[in-house]
Amino acid sequence: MPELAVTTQQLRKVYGTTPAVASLDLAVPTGEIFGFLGPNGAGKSTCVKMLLGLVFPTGGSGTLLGAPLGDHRIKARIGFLPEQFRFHEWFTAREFLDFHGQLYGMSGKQRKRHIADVLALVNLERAAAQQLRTFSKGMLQRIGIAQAVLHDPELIFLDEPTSALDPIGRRLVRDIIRQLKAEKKTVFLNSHLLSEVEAVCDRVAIIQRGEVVRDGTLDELLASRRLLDVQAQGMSESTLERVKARWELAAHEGNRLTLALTDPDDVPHVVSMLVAAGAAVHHVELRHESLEDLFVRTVDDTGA
Amino acid sequence: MLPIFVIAKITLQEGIRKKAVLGGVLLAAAFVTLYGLGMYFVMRDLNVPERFVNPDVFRDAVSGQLLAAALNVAGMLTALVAIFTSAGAIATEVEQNTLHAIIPKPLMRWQVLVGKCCGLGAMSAAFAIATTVALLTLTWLFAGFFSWSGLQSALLLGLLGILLSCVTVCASTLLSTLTAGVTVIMLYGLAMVGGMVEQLGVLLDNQVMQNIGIIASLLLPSDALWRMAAQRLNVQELAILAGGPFEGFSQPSLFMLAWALLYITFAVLLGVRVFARKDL
Ligand SMILES: Nc1ncnc2c1ncn2[C@@H]1O[C@H](COP(=O)(O)OP(=O)(O)OP(=O)(O)O)[C@@H](O)[C@H]1O
Ligand SMILES: [Mg+2]
Repeated sequence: MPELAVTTQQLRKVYGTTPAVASLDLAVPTGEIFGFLGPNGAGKSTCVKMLLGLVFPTGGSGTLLGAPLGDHRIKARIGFLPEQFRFHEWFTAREFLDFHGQLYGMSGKQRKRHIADVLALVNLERAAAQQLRTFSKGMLQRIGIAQAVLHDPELIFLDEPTSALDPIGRRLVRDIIRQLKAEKKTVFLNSHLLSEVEAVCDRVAIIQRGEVVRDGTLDELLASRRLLDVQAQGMSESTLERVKARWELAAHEGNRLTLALTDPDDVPHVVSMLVAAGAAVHHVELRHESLEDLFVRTVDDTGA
Repeated sequence: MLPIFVIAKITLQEGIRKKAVLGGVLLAAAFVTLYGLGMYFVMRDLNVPERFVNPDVFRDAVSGQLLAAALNVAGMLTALVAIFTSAGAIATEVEQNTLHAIIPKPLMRWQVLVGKCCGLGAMSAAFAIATTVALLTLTWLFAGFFSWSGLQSALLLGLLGILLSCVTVCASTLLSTLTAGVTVIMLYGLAMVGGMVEQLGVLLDNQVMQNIGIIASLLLPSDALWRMAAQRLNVQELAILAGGPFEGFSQPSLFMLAWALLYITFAVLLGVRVFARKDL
């Protein structure tokens, strides 16, 4: 098994004259949950479609499970939930999965067993005999996830798997992803739900206009900055100036401040400076930066 | 199971559910019933002119003429069913993103395309053959005339269905659903008019008109196939009714049959080639 499940080198896609993906360099280690983030239109889905052979790159290259893009031999080891997932809606859920099982080349016996398993996994056992046309949006997303993991793939691409799911469905998907990780599978997750990404991912890349603007393990990315939320009354302009001179002011609203600290040991210094300046400190809380903070900061930094 | 077979099967299953097929089948059923009734009454009420020593010759001629005319309609119905069911084969699936879940699976794009051609071709061929066999059977029941070589006509009309299905699938890789359908219908119409011009050319002994027909048949050998099918009914030798619509029938050569087979191959190969590089 190669160390990197997915790599891309200067992967590029241009539609007409506008680049959808400018130049993407990714490296996703095997066995990790990878969060692929970026604002709308950043090129996430286009990138996944290039990796899966749906769209042909204008330039650059990439590998999946060690094989170059377009290699058909590794397709049986990959699962995919498309962003816009449509299908023959006259199928019942079970027929639908059976059809996809046949496409994966599974035997009748395998299909029977795996279909029962995945229907249970996505909690659709009771709807197994129902036609897909009668499914709700969330039920369709669930059956799409079932289809993606039906054949026990090693590498799974999920393009916004929870966009239509209720809170319980979201938790279910989170559990499925964690279970895949326990089975040493690699998951490539496109999502806008950053709290979810933060809960399951080992590593993320944030892209904008088809280029990586930030990447690394979640621990690396979020540990480097600590945020200190302060609530204090009676802070004068000059006090603020002095605080700003020493620490980065991440946010300021009324009597609330958020400071970015590089050293957590600075907390007492912040408090004593404020107290010395005559401010009444009501509340101080040191926390890690959230993925959402990082995302907003990163995407804003480079301009929308 | 082979991916082509899986795709062909689902295409067939899906096609059968389409309104175009249901409409075609209902229309064909109504038409075949009408034909049976017509044949029955014509045969019952027919007055054989006195100049015919053997009335059976005249009866066979009349029923043969009716059968040939009915085969014309069967050909058109086949064309409509084949074109309407195939026009969206790729285009609609691209528009609706259905292929996003299929192409990443362990099968090749060409297998998807060939599978669709097989499924749709089989459906159109089955439609054509069933309709033609029904017409032959009714002719035999009510007119006592069974054209064994008419079974070859059925196969040729089946081939017409396959030809139009494959051409339309090919067009569907290049054009939108509507444009693909309209384009093939126009080609079909062109070939039909070309065929008429060629017939007139034979009657008038005009070489230019005959060449126009041949060129139209090269553009799409649908009319040539239909004429071969009509000819296999063996009614032209009975066409002794003065001024019958099929008098002076020019017979397309075997070359046209070979051309039709080649044409199908080309259409599928072109479809495969375009689809192989298409962004979905
Ligand atoms: N078929 C296409 N033709 C032309 N432009 C396209 C096509 N597909 C995508 N694009 C453009 O490429 C860019 C990237 O689109 P993509 O769908 O990859 O974004 P995304 O990051 O997945 O966004 P979202 O978060 O909204 O899903 C967009 O600007 C989009 O308009
Ligand atoms: Mg997207």
